[in-house]
Formats: sequence, structure tokens, C-alpha cells
Amino acid sequence: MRQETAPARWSADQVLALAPDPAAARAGQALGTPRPWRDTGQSGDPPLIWGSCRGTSRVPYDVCVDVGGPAYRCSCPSYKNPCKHALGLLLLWTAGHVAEQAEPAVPEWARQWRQEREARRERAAGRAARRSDSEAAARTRQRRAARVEAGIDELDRWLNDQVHQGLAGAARAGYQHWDAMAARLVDAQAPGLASSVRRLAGVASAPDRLLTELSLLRLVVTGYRRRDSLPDDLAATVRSRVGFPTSTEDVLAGAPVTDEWSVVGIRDEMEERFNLRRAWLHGTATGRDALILTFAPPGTALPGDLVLGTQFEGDVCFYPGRGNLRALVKCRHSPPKTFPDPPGAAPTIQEALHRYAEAVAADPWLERWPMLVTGVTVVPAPLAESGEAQPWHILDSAGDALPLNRWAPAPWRLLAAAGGGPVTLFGEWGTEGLRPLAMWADGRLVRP
Amino acid sequence: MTGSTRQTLAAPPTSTAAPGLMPWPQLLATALVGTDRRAGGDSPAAVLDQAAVWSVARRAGRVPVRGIDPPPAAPTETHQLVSRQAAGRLAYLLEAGPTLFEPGLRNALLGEWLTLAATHRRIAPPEYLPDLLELGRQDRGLRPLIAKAGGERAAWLARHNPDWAYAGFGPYRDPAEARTRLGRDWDELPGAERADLISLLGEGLRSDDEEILERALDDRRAEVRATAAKLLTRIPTSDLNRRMLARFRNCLRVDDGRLVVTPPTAFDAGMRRDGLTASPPHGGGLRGWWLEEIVAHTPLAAVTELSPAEFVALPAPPEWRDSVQRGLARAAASQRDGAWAAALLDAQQSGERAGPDDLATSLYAVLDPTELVRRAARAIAEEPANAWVSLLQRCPGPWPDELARLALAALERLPGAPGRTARTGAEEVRAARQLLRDLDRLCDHTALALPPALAAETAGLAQRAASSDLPELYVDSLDRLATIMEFRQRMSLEFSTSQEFSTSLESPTAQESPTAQESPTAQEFPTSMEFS
Repeated sequence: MRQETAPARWSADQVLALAPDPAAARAGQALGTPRPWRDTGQSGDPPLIWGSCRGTSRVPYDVCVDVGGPAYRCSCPSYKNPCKHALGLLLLWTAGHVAEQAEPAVPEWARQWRQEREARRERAAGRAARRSDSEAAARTRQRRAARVEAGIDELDRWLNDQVHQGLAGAARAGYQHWDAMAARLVDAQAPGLASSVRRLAGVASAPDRLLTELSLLRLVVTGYRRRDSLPDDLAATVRSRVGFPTSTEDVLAGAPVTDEWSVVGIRDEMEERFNLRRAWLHGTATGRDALILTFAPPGTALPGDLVLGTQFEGDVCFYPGRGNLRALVKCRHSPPKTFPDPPGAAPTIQEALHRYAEAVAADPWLERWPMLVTGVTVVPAPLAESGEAQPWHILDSAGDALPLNRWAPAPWRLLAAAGGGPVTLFGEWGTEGLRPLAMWADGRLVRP
Repeated sequence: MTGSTRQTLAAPPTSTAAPGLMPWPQLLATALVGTDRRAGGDSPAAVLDQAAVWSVARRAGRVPVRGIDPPPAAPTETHQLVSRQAAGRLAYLLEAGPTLFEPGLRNALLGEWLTLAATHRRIAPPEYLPDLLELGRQDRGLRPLIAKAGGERAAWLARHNPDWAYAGFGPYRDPAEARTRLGRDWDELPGAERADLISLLGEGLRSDDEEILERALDDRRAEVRATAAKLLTRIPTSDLNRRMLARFRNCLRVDDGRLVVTPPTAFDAGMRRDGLTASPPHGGGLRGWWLEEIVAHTPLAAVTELSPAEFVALPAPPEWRDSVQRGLARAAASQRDGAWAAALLDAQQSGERAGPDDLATSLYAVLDPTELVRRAARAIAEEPANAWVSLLQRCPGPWPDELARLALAALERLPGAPGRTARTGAEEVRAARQLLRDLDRLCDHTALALPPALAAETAGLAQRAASSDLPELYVDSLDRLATIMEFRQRMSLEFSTSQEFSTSLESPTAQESPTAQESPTAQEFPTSMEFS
């Protein structure tokens, strides 16, 4: 199709999401009009965009953005990254005001910057990860192990106590009840367990859910006590559930999985006052799913280097643990490209659930599972005359259906684009149902 | 695999546990009341361990829901989707619009996008329909455009959400079908649907629609009655027009070169039935309001033998003169009568009449284009800036080409005036500031009224202003004008069948520098299109 040849432009929302703070977003918006710009251009796919911006000072700033990174360069003195000029230039581009140019038109300074970045990337890739293995580190590890051991025992007593006294009472307890135990687990250096306990408050009024979550915590306890007799990968899963950290260096030192990775879903959330982004990848050849987690303190931008609906060839390193989905992108071998339909989707809902069962078998504590399924259609909730709201569903041609998460906003855009026909859908599957994050209909990516 | 996990992870049953697994409901019941209240039962640890086995098994063994019916498949579209660039522009307006543009401007640009789509017989990508349909809930003016650009899918989608019911009548967008349905199913139709079908008749009104419309005047729903009355005034031979004319003649007659005015003394049921409003919206005397309402709804073509100018010039009793003038102005605007509009505007300008000033905008809207241009040209040539600024402000877009060029020339020529006002007195300073504010508003108005093809002219104008010593506010106003114009030009080019707009449309700066035009861009771009 003729329209596929032009490089994909981002949405303005996508650009504004990169702003390190609201002030930068506002200032960037003010610069997103053609007036302050001179000599703008774009080249390549994903494009390199450049321009010079006449700011308040009379010296124009040279601005350049590599959309593939994305990475930004600006001659202004701002410490913000991206600065308002880079944001403005990106907005100008999203509005279609930046003309495409051939490679020779790329200004010298922009070309140089691009070369420097490539060189730096190669150096970083070549650097070997170093680790300190001193005695002091060993002592710290021992101390931590002892604390965790005590914390595990305390948690076990507490879990037994809940069941001994009855969950009906726990349901009436306030947040304090859960937070107190969570705080003791933080002191015991078991942050993974601490946040699991804190989240119990949310299910306290649903006894079925509460017993499930309590029993899964008990499963961590028993698993941890028997860690020496567990297979290594399962022991690693248990350790990560307890909250033992794994350093980025260790992860990157592991064996990489080389594949063509498609970004099939992105979800941003606030978690414990941090901005958290979950980017879900799916490998074409290996069929593996990967979860790239990134955090940003309040007021700073989450990195926008993984763009929904694009794929790249690259190396991904997984965190240790059986069935662990969390991973890091080690390096990319190709610039991102858009794809019309993600590869490797489960052809039926039965098959998707079968894959989910395998994932639960590997990691029984799995909370969110990346469900990628094709040949389904979106079914809206029946028009409610009265009573409680019904959930939406996805439905395949075999007549199997799955409920959509009723806490997520009703996905009208998905219904509109599907129009009752079959589509490919990606979402996070959990006990509350499926939370759709992306859909592909007629070769177009649709966000809910 | 599930089985193996169970064996590895769950602790072996403790001695107090019953052999085998307790069923989940029983476990849950035990856990709810608490093991200390169940003498001789399981230990809490045993309950939790068994529950863990169940929890994992229940998750892994999740089965699909059955018995969900698929929605009916959406009908195939008869029109093509807009280009990818045009779709991107729509997304930009919907997503970033609220933060980047003021709401009024954003909706105007969205309206223009939808009009372009309708003109080119293209439809919006369906994923944007929910946003558009939401927009239409607040902005009734956009509804017909949304229904057009939404294609079959919008009507299909509207059937799933009662909030969007206004778009659900898509299938009979044809007035003929509305006519059939109204004639056949009147008593069964819900009120909202009757209202929509009645207004649909307006898109292809025929004189034999009178029967349905007369019936609609007695409808329970106010919206239906009001629309029917409005449409009946558009049928010249309608009985409603005849009744209105009779009322008019009871109130007004010409006697010996003077206008004799006898406003009604009561508001009767017949007046209400014919769509007149009993109480004035902004207060004031009742009789004057009733008079205005009657005049405003009377077919002007039949009211007098005199020419509009002669009629307007007739001396009239001062206490009713305003009501008559306002009624005539409203009638001229709603009947799109250019001759009456011109006569009323002349009367207003000559200052002899207390003019329908707030109606001037709607009168300019119905003037014959050549008449409009003539007036604008005269004002720009002969009158002070504030006079023509307010005249142009009242000329609704889209402006005819000639008016557009006149306005641009005026905006270019004007600056000498506000920039170098002699700061002698507070009065002059205040007037100059007021003029700048008015010009600012005029630039916003102009940006939407000019034909998009004049974008380059506005860019040049803004650039010349930027390098002059004009007041900063005016430079900013012109800059915004140029920015919006460029946006609109790109928007309209994205709808033209040739996709090569990015070669023909350089940024204003690039057009200035001769090297940019010789850059290989122009040769480069088409090659990427050859694969299509």
C-alpha cells in the first residue's frame, strides 16, 4: 500500500509523554509551531529530525532528535533531557511540518552526533561487566539471609494466625492491619513479600481472593524453606518473590536471547509513588514473552525507546527464575520498524489459555500474563437495563470467550475498529480478566 | 506441567491433615470462620497448603466463558478510508488538540477536517469514532458531519451506546426514507428518533412534507415541534406561512407613508403551536417580544409591495421600532434573504435606526458575496481601522476569494496606524490598545475564514511583520494566523488525491532560500511512491 512507505509519525501524546516535567511539556508545545524553526528536515526511517530554533536568545539552537533511540541533542544550556526544543521539534514533526530530505541534506553537526552515538553504543556493548566479590559483600549477604529467614518465620506465623482467627475478621480490618505486617517485612529485607502483603488490603473483602493470595504467600514460605532441594531455576523464582535483588550487570551477563522482538503492549502506572512502565515484547522465532520494566521518579519522563507496534532485532537478557518474564534489552541489531500484525499470536482462546496454564505451571505466582490472541472479536457488555454492569468479552470463532477486566475503561475504540470482525489482541491476563493494551485490525495498530 | 509444580512446591501433607485434598468450598468455609472455632479440624498451615494447591490449579485450569453472542458484523463501507496522513492529523486533533489549541479553535479545525472528509467522500478510521461521537454529544453542529465521516461503522457503533443514539440513524440518512418511516411508523417511534427523522426531512424538503410537519406541530416533544415549525416556514405555500402572514398584517400596516404598529395583546394557543416563544429570553416587554417573534417568522417575500430599503426606512412608532427591526433581521437571517439583510445593515450603518447590532453577524452571513466584498472594500478604504475590523469580524467564513485578499491587504497596510500612535493622551493609548485586542480576535477569525490556499500569503505577512517594529502583540497575532493557516493548508492537501504534498509544501523559510528549492528533496520523494 502506498501509505506504508512513509515513516510512521508519532502521536503528539507520545511526544508529550517524553517530557521530563509538565513545564517542559508546556514549553515544548509552545515551540511546536513552525514560526521559531528554520532549516528543518528529516531523513531515514526511523527518522533523524533536525532544525534550528530561534529561542529567546538571538542565537538559534541546533536541535536534533534520533527517533529510533529516541535520543536528543540540543545546543541549549538546559539540563532537561529532552529539553523543550527537542520536544517542540518532535511536535512539529508529529504535526507533519517537517519535510523529508535525502541523506546529503543532513547537516554536518547532526551527522557527527549520530556517528558519536553509534561509536558510544559499540563501546558500551564491548565493556565487560565487573563484579565485586569481596569478603565484605559476602558478610552483607549473610546478614541479609538471616534477616530474611526471621522475616519468613514471622510471615508464616502471621499467615497461620489469619486462618486461625478466620478471614471474616480480616476482611473487616483496616489498611493498618496489612501495612503493619508489610512494614515488618520491609525491615526483614523482603520487599517482594512486603508489597504482596500490602496488596492484600485490596482483596480483603473478597474471601475467595483473599484465601488464594494468602495461600500463595504460604507457598513462598514453604518454597523458601525448601530452596536447597528445589531446582535452581525454581529456587531463583522463589528468591525473586521474596525480594532478593538481581543486579542489572548480572542479568546482562546472562545468556542473551537473540530474536526479532515486537513491542506488543505498553502500560504506565503509578506504583508506590513511582512512574512504572511495563513494556511487553514477543519474540518471533523463540515465541518468548519478555517484560521490560522501567521506573521513573515523579516528574521525570519514562524512557520512550520501546514504541508500541514496532519491532527490532536484538538481544534480550532474562532475569533468573523459572518462567520469569522480566528482562532487559541488551542491544539492538536493527532500528525499529512497524509491523502490520504481531507474529506468534495464539490462534484460539483455548490455545491462549493452554499457554497461560503452562506459564502458571512454571511460575505459580504469575500475576499478569501477556496474552496475545488472534481471530477474536470484541463483544461489548449488553446494554444494561438495571443491576450491576456486565463485563465486555473477547470471543473466538469456536464460541469461547474471556471477560475483559471490568476496572479498565470500556474499550470503545477497539470495538469500533473491530466492527464485529476478527482481530489480533494483546492484553494483560490476570484474575480480574483481560486488560487489553493493543489491537491490530486490517493491519492497523489500535490503542484502547 | 501443572502436576510437577504441585509436587515440587507444595509441602507434603502434615500429619493432622486429612489424606487427600479438601474441596475448595470447604477450605474457604473453614478459613472464613477460623480454625480455632472448628475443633478437631485442620491446622491453619494445612488449610493454607491445600488452598495453595487449589489456587494454582484453579488459575491454570481456567476455562473459557460460553454463551456469549458476537455483535452483528458491521456493514461494509461504501467509501474509502482517508489517507494515512489525514488519519494522523485527525488523531493529532483528537489527542493533542485539547492541550495545543483552545477548545473553540480545535472544534473548528475538527469541523473542517470532517467537512473535507465529506467533500472527498472519505471516511475516518473507525478507531477514532468513539472520540468523535463523544464530541458530537456536546457539539450538535458537528453531528451530521460526524455521521457522514463515520460511515456505516458510526451507525453500527452508536447502536451499542445510548449516548451516541444521534448517530444511530445512519441507515436512513436519506430524507426519502425519513419521510417513509415518519408516515408509516409515527406512533411507534420514540421521541428522539422522531426528532432526528424530522430534522432529516430538512435536507431535502418538499412541499408535500407539509402534512407530516403540520402533524408534528402537535407532537409531545418540544424539539420535534420546534423543528417542524422551522421547516414549515421554508415551504413557501405552507399554511403556517399563511397564518404567520395574517398575524403580521394584524400587527403592521403601512398607512400614508408611515408604519402603523399594533402588537398582539395576548399569546394564544395558535401562536404557541406555530413555534413562537411566549417569553422573551432576555427579559423586556411581552408585547414587543411577541411582535418580534411574529415578524421573525413571517416570509419576508410576501410582506410588502415596497422594496426592503423603502420598508425599513418607513417612520415607525419609537416604542415598537426595535422589535420590528430585530424581527426583520432575524427573518432575513433565517430566510437567507440578502436584499433584506443589505437594507437592514444600511439602516444600521446610517445610524438613523436603533440597529439590530447583535444580529449584524447573521446578516453579513446571508449577504450576496459581491455585496459583501463591496461593503468590505468601502469600509477598508474609507473608514477608520476599528470600523472595518469589526465589519470583517462579523463576516463569517469561508470568505470569498476577493474578500480574503482584501482582508489580507488591509492587515498588511494597517500596521502603520496602531504601531505609531502618538501617545499624547490616555484616550488615544486606550483606543490603540483596544484596536490591538480587536485585531487579535480578527486574526483568529481570519485564520478560519480564509481559503487554506492562501497559507503562503499569511506566512509572508507574518514574516514581514516579525522583522518590522510593529507592536509585539500584533506580530504574535499575525504569527498565529499564519500557523493556523499552514495547519489548514496541510490538512486540506492531505485529502487531495496526490500524496506529494510534502514536496510542494516547504516551510515558509525554505521557500525564501533559493537553495532549498534546488535540494534533491523534490526528486527524492516520488521514488518512495513507486512501489505503491
